[in-house]
Amino acid sequence: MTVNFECVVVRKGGHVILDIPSLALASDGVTAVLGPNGSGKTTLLRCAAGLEEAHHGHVYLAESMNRSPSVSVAFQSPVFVHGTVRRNLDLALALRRVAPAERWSRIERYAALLGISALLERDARSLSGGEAQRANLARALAVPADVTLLDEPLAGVDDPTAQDLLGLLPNAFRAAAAPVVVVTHERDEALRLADRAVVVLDGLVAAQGDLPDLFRSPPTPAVAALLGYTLVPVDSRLVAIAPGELRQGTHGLKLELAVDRIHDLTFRREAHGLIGDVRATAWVGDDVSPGRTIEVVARRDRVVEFDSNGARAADRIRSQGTPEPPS
Amino acid sequence: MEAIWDGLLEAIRQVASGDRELREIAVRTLLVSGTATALAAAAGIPLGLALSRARFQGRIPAMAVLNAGMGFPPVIIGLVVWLLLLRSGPFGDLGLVYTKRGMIAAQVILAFPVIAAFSAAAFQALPSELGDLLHVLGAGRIRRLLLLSREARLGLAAAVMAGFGSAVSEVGASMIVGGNLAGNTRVLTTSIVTETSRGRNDNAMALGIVLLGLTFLVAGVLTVVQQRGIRK
Amino acid sequence: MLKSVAVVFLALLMLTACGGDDDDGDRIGGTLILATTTSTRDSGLLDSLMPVFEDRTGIEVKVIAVGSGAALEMAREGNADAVLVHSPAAELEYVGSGDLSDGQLVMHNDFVIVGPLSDPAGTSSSVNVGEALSLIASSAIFVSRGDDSGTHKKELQLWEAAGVDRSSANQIEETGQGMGATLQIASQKRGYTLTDRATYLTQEDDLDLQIVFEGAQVLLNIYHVYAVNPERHTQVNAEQAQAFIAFMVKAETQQRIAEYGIAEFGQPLFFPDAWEQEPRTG
Repeated sequence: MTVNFECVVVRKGGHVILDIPSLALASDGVTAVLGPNGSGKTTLLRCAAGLEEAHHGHVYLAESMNRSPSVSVAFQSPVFVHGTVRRNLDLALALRRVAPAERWSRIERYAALLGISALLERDARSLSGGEAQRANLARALAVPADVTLLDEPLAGVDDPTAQDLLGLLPNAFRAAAAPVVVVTHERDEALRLADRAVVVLDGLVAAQGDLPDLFRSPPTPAVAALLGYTLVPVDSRLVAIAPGELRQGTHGLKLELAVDRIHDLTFRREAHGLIGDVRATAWVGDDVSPGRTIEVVARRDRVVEFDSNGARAADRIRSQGTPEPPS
Repeated sequence: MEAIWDGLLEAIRQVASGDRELREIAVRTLLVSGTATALAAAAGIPLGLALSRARFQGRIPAMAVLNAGMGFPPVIIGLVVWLLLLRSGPFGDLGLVYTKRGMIAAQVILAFPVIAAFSAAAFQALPSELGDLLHVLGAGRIRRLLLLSREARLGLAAAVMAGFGSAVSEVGASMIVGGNLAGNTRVLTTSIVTETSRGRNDNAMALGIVLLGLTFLVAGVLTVVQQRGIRK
Repeated sequence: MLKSVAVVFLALLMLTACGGDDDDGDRIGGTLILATTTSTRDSGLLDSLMPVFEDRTGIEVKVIAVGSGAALEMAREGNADAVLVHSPAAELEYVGSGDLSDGQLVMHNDFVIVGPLSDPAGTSSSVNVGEALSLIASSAIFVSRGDDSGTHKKELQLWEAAGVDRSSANQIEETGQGMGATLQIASQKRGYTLTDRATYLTQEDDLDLQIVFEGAQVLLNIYHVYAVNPERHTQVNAEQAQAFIAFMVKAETQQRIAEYGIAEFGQPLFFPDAWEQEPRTG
């Protein structure tokens, strides 16, 4: 099942908040819609769910087997009707015309998949933030649908719950067997959950493709920045360094880092400081202290260069793993 | 003061003895205002739901009209309805002037803006995602209305109570449209006016006490509906 | 010197006296609560007379227009200072109990029976009130005031005199409202009603009603004015009440009553009686 966008323009208060000439979303697997807050990604999800009216163009679900396609959704803030968690899941399934016996088994199955089996008889409105989000996701995934849309599934939950859900969700996605769209502003969430990504910036689709490719080779500086790259102007170019790839050393692209503080993490030491005007973090050795300026390097295959217009200056310089001699 | 006390005693005596005419007027009042409230709710609650949605076109002008409607002098509503229903008026052929159905029509117009505006506020208090979720899951208009009404029943019961209150306590419109015909269109409020103009203050007091009791009874029933299940 | 002063003083005194005559007495001031019937208000008569009275006496009049029954009840409880009513039999009772005093005959008009233009009960041919009422009772709708007013009491007397049992009548609707509203209801319901001629004439244009019976002696509608007895109800404004009674019966006011309505309706609505012992037929 594919959600197709054609010439879609959504305006609010005179501002264009979404402008998608053409997009095919979620043909199978898990797609992340990645973008900063206010980029229009929630609007995109609402369009896909049929909740937002486009001022121009249309959104449609490719039909399958002569029946009208169905969507399931989990909003960012969980909402429930009066009653227990079970009643809420049961109501959702009943509205989807699932037979009572199957409802029961689905509820049990997805409650187990999201770790809320013990909460089924609790009042849905008395759940904690994390519990409510689990119930919200269980409901969205339990409902049979051609596409399942999840808006910021880990927003507003504490870190242990988020880590737990990151482990549970892929299994739940497989069980649901429908294409899933996850809207998120967290790169890590996208990387952990999704196969593909659509990057939304300022209401426009800035990039799309398989996530590993996208991450390895962001097409624009803005996409690179969203994916966690450190952007450093070097001469007339803009150099984007993949997250975690700056380190003290001699081989690779050389840059000067003015260290202002050091973090001792359990397994590594990180220096925070400035490269030119850019705040950066590099892995460093034991001999570095705040106040010093040190030379850091990035492996060439972890660097993307853009010209002054933001276009890719040249393809990533591939060294295929062999360290370059110092330039 | 003595008149009030005597009136009160006489009123209690009449109420306690189950005076037949008093009972008939009370039942008729409940029937007329209850029907009017039910009709106004049947139209006002769905409108309230539609108005509670931010995307509804013309929401602000519609809310302004409803809010103005709530503050509209009831007697003018009565006057206009009466003029419309007169034999010489545009709806004269319906033969509704000086009938209970004519009174119901006037009271529906009175209660409708109250119920619609209060309902809109009650639905607005629900998270907007709830309606969206039901929509995505395939709930039709009626199903959504029922499910959301259950969620908003606190506010909706208050809306219905306010609507009933405005219908049952109104006197001018009922007098003009209904004509206060004995045994036919005479309700508690118009009856009180008649009894005072006849100088029968004790009867007026008895009717007043019944009217108060009726208001409390309806409020009580709706409060039970409203609060039921909240403890769960 | 002394003499001339005395002359001037005398002259002044005479002037004052003459001026007083022109003003019809002293300017008393204060307020007067007048309990009266709806017909005197609905016909517009009081609206034309009261400004004159207020102008002459400086008394502010508060007119409470209710049924005669309620007006008399107000007098009994001392809630009014004067009453202008048309329920002679009931009035006697209140005079007897000492609640009313200084009664004066003011005016009369008459009651008429009005009904639909088609006159479905065929009352136009009846020879007396009793026959007219019997015809109505047997086949048509009669709309009754039902408010213990003078008109309502008159109606009840007429039914009794006609020997018609009201409970066996075809359809009687009781409005519990004033004459104006009752006429409207009779018109809309295509029914008959008993009305004072004055109120009927003032509303005739808005009604699909015609006079179907009139002119009988028993249909006379006689208005008396009374003061609420200050000996029994000490809180009343006795002086203002006396001024009002004097105003209602004096020649100038009687002349106004005789002329009221001619310009608008082509005939008088009330007939002044203060100079007579018994009223003539209207």
